[in-house]
Amino acid sequence: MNDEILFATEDQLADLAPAEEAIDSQKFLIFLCDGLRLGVVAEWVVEILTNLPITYLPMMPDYIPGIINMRGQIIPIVDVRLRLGKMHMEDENQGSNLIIVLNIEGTQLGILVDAVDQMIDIPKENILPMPAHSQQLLVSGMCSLPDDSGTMMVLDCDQLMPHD
Amino acid sequence: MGNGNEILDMYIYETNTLLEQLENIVLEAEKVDTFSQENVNEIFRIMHTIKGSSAMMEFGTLTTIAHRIEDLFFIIRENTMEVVSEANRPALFDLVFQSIDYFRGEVEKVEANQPLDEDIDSFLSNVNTLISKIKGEEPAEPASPPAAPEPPPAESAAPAAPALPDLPQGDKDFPYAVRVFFDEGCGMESLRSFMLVASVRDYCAESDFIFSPADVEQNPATSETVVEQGFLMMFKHPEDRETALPIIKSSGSVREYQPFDYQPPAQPEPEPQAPAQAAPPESKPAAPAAAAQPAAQAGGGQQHPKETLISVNLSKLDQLNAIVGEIVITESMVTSSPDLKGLNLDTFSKSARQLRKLTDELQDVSMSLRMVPVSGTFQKMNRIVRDMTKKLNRPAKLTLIGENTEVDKTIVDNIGDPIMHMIRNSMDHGIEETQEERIAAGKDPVGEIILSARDTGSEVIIEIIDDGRGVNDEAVLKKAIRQGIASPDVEYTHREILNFLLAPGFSTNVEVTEFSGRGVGMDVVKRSVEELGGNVTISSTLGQGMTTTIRIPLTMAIMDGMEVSVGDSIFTIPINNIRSSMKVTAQDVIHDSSSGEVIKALDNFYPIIRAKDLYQLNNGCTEIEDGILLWLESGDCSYCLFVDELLGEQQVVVKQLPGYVNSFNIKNYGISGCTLLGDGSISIILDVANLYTAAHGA
Repeated sequence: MNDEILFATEDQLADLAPAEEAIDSQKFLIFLCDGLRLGVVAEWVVEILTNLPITYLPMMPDYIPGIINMRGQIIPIVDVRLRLGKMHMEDENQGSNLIIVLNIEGTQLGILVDAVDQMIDIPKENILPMPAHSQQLLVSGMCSLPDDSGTMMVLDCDQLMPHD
Repeated sequence: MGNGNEILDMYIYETNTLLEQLENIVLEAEKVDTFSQENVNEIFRIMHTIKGSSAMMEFGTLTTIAHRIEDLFFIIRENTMEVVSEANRPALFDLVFQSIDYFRGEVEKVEANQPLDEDIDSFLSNVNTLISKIKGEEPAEPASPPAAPEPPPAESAAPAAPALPDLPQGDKDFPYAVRVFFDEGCGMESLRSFMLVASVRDYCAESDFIFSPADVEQNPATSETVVEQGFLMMFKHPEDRETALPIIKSSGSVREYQPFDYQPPAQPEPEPQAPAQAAPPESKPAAPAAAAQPAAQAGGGQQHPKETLISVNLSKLDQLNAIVGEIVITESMVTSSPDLKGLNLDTFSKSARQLRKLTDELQDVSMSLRMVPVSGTFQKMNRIVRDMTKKLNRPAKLTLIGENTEVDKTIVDNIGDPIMHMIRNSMDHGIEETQEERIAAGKDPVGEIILSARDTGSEVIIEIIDDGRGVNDEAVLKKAIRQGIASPDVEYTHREILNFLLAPGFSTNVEVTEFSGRGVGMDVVKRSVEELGGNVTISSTLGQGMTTTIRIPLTMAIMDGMEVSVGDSIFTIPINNIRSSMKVTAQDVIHDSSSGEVIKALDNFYPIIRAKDLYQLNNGCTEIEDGILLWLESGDCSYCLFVDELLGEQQVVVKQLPGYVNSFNIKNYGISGCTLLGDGSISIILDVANLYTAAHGA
């Protein structure tokens, strides 16, 4: 094996590399949203903020409640519940909220969620694609959690971007 | 990697600056149809510098061309402009313009990392033809150009330059000599020699040393002499030579150097000494002395900006401004913190006041860093007018007013194209086609375009005024109808017709010309000015010309805003757009046919836009008595915005909204940005013009 890598040309190395990556695992931050466990790739998470006032921005789709000021940076917020077409959180005490700030390929975006659950390592091969007939909004894959606590849906950050 | 690029960046920056300078000189000179001796010296120096730096960067073609042009101006310098006959002058000016364009093109290629144009023969032959033409006219002129292969005729030797002695042995007044040989084949020996001289001059008084050949700076032909005999520097004092040695040693391409002391000539050769003896160092032979002076001046002029100006990456400035903006906000967050309420803190308030004063100053300074005069952009227009005058054969002059007006760098960068479009338009469509037409209209046969800038404190107003035909309303309307922009059944006012000119796809000229007439000009002007937060208006009187007024907020980063509240939301409205505010009662409001609301103010009717309804806000006043009306104006639109309350005037740092929300076309609803208030909350900045469009489109 060593020799193989040692004497491999660059092209061959590229062939060898994905094989190793496949057993790689990925860190996910799991949060709750209307009873669902959704996971977001941990590398994208910038920060978790609580109770920051959201400034209402008029003329936006209703799943964008507004923008926040994170130490001078203006960050737009997406309400994941509303984005998934679900209802507002009930008995929501005004002013308290939980925002996960993501940096998706340079675009900063905050997502409004119910609660943050845990951080977890998941082997990439365990993530299965969604069954074709049950296309879900915002979800790109799913996997069973190792501690049998349930199933995690992988949040498709691409769909969060406004081009849809 | 960084190092090489820095040198290249410096080269590009320097060359571009020089070219700009050169262009200005030539434009000025063309007006009077001659180069003053000062101009010639300056051009000579510029070409010399370009040649030198291009050679250093190993751009052979650039070096060659700069070299030839330098030769050309050497002839002119030696013989004054008299040498160029009237007939050849236009060719001379054109040639210099061509060379400017050539250098610009090549420098752009260098910047873009593209290969340079290798084929310079035709250009060179142009230069050579002109040189020989000029020379041909003055066959009797004693001082022949330096590049000429034959040595200067004997009679010119007396005033011009020391005839080159075979192997100069030194001078008894300057006994401490050093002879320098350059690497074989390194090229540009004369220039390299002169660079040595220049570095020695830095510490050694000019009267304390001489060098041979004495005309290395101007005479490229001395390169051969330097190659053969070495470059000789002679000092009055031994310590000067000692200091010079390390300099020589560290200079590039020096093969070897030999210090030696002057020995009285063994076989007395009167000739080599004659010029030096006859002329004490102060009054050296006329030509080198005269040449050395402008060179020294030029050198001084060149060093001066280097010492007082530095070029800084714009992104660093932006970063600085952003941080300063944050500091200002944080400062007011700290000093007006709710925790301090009810406390009596004398020392704290004192320090807080001091802090505020300093942050204000800091803000002013950091803002001023981005301010640059518009002169650079304005000067470029001279060239456009000049080129078009030639091509269209319509004499016109450009008058610049207020070139020193300073505006934000972003504005300067983006205002060039709109102004250029307008100037081209004025030349192409405005100024009458023939002089007879102008004379018949009782105007000066030479058309005039005035380009002016002035600063009103909050905005900069740029006006492009021409004294041409003016706008023919009927023709414009017909065209607009043909283009489907206007409807044939509607009566349009003069102002509305002029606005058609700014509509996309409109061009009054029947034919598309090289300069304008593609129908993209005017609306591009409008769009790019609006991107800068400004607006364009046109006014015109038929037969008397047209005036285009561009108004742009002085700086886009900071503005004075009025904070207003509607329900829970806070909005910022630019103070510039507010005419007045008024409290009205329900009786004052007139309801029009389409269930809109109108208010009468100063004998005119203005529509009312309710911010709460427009933005579908949940809270906020519904009764007109509870809130307040703000009379807003921007460009052509004038209306009243109904809000709950005025919170006060404030200077705010404008922040762009994140791209994510901008992609929802929020700008079209009159939301142009946001700003952070003292307590960290966000206020939304409204764009008065777009808000009006949004309310009336909806």
